Amino acid sequence: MSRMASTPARMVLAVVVTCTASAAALTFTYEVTKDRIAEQERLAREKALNEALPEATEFTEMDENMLVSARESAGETRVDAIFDAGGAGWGVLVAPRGYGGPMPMVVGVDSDGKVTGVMIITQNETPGLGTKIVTDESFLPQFRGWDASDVDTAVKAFDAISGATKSSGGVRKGVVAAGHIYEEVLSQTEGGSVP
Amino acid sequence: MMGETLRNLALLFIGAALVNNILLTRFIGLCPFFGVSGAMETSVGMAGAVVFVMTLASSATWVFWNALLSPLGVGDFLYIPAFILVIAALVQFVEMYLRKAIPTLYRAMGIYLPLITTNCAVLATATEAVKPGFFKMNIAYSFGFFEMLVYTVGVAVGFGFALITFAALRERLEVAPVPGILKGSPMAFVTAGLLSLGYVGLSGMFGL
Amino acid sequence: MSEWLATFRRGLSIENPLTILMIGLCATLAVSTKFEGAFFMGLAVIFVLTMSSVIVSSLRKLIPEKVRIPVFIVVIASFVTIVDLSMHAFIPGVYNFLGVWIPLIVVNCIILGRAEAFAYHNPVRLAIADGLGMGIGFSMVIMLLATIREFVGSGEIVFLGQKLVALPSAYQGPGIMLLFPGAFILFGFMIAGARWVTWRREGRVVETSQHCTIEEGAS
Repeated sequence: MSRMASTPARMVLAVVVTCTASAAALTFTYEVTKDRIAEQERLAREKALNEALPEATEFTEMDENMLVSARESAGETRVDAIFDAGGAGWGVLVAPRGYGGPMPMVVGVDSDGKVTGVMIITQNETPGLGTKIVTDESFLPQFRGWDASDVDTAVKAFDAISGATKSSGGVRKGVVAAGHIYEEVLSQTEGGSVP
Repeated sequence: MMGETLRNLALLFIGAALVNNILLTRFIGLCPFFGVSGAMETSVGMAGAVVFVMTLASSATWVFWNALLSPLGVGDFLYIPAFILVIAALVQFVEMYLRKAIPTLYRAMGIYLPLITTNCAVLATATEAVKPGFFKMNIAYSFGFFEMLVYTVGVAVGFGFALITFAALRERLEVAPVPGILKGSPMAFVTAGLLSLGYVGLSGMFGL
Repeated sequence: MSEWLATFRRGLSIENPLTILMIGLCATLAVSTKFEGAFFMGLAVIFVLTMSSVIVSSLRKLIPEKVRIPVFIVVIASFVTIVDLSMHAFIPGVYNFLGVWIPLIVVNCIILGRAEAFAYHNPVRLAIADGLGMGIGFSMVIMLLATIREFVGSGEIVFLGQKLVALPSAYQGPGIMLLFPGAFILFGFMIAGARWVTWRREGRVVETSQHCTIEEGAS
């Protein structure tokens, strides 16, 4: 079988042509899929926000300054965004670390400083063990009614799922971070204070 | 402030090397793990080569990402081909350079270099350094250059440590009375499982 | 046609990439906690493997030998990115579960290994057979492993939100099956099983580990 001889010109040509073709194909695929990807992410986030703050009707994302000060109060936990839910309170998007990496979730806090609900947007915990934080029906609701301005006391009532200690601990860290954000940042603002 | 930074870097290193050991708790890089662990000598050579190449590769891709891919906004969909090409080219140049400049070092780890291009650990670590959280590490936001270095060296040292431990276990296994059908690779997997069990026990240490 | 079938069947049995050649292990052990994840991982590998085999084989006379590895890598990486973006757009749940393992298909030795060892030297027709055979051989093993791990470990098999099989909820599975050590140990016994089968059939133990040795002729 005859094969092209490896002259320098042909070698460069082969690599350049492959790379160009590849970049073109990928740009095309990206253009086709990117809206759908953004839409999927928006839907997942909206669903979690609605479930964490059932009273709220609309959400507006708060500005960058708020996020910067929120990140300072959250310590080691990642903060992705904060949504103002009008009079109903706030939805805090945090991503604490569980056993299988960051778990983006929404913690809803109402204007009185009570946790209204916790919803996990995505997680990558061990199926059958860590995923019990989502499938166990009594786990997530236990955070409802926690006093966000005093999470460090509230956290004593926390019940971890056996066999999923690290995943449960991750959720707890997220709620504690959201509590600190409420106490140090959100409760000082005007936004959600109108009942 | 200084103390806290040092503490964080130390935790980052331990987390990368032991608690989230890339081989035994993340399953990344298993091919060389089973491929070269048959003899102690090759394992040590491979471990050295991995520390060396991984550090270089992550630095190169980190610079590439922050200087080119990310500002151009094409990082999200071009990073896979871009990174693997950067790594492959880098390994090739290192090999050529070592062969001419430092023949002793080349003899010690030259033969492992081509193998490392196709080692998922290198690509995974390089990716993690620019897109944190991508494979389960304890970092909230993206890495600075220095953090990236500490992290990469941590992962590589953890890799080498696990590889050498496993090679030692396999040497002992050679003389163990193993049933015929399990001899060789099946028993190696079971042994790796027991070793991995030890690493699972580290999970949660130092709050990592 | 018999040559085509013979090539296709090699990947399923005597040259099975996982149980016999033992390449591409990382992804296998990591994503086999869930049948669903293993299923889509298998599909992704079949797609990337077959497509890159077709491209490499049809361009084999145009790719100069010394730059073949970079060219293969770019071709493979492109197909992997296509899979990555499509999964992200259409099956976000599965995408999230597979996570880092999709990009890492690039360095899955099965794919580069087959491009190098087979597709670069054979016509497109056979390259397709080889790609499909190896891909399906890979998928079968990974799905079997995942079925055992998910069923024994969590007592149910869930596929895209539907419970296919479920034990009573009182069942408490051995959690080790779902953790990393369980995967190693179970896979060890699976190789032993595959060996026993070939030993019964062929009268000898087949051990041909390849371990991703891509000898770079370049430089």
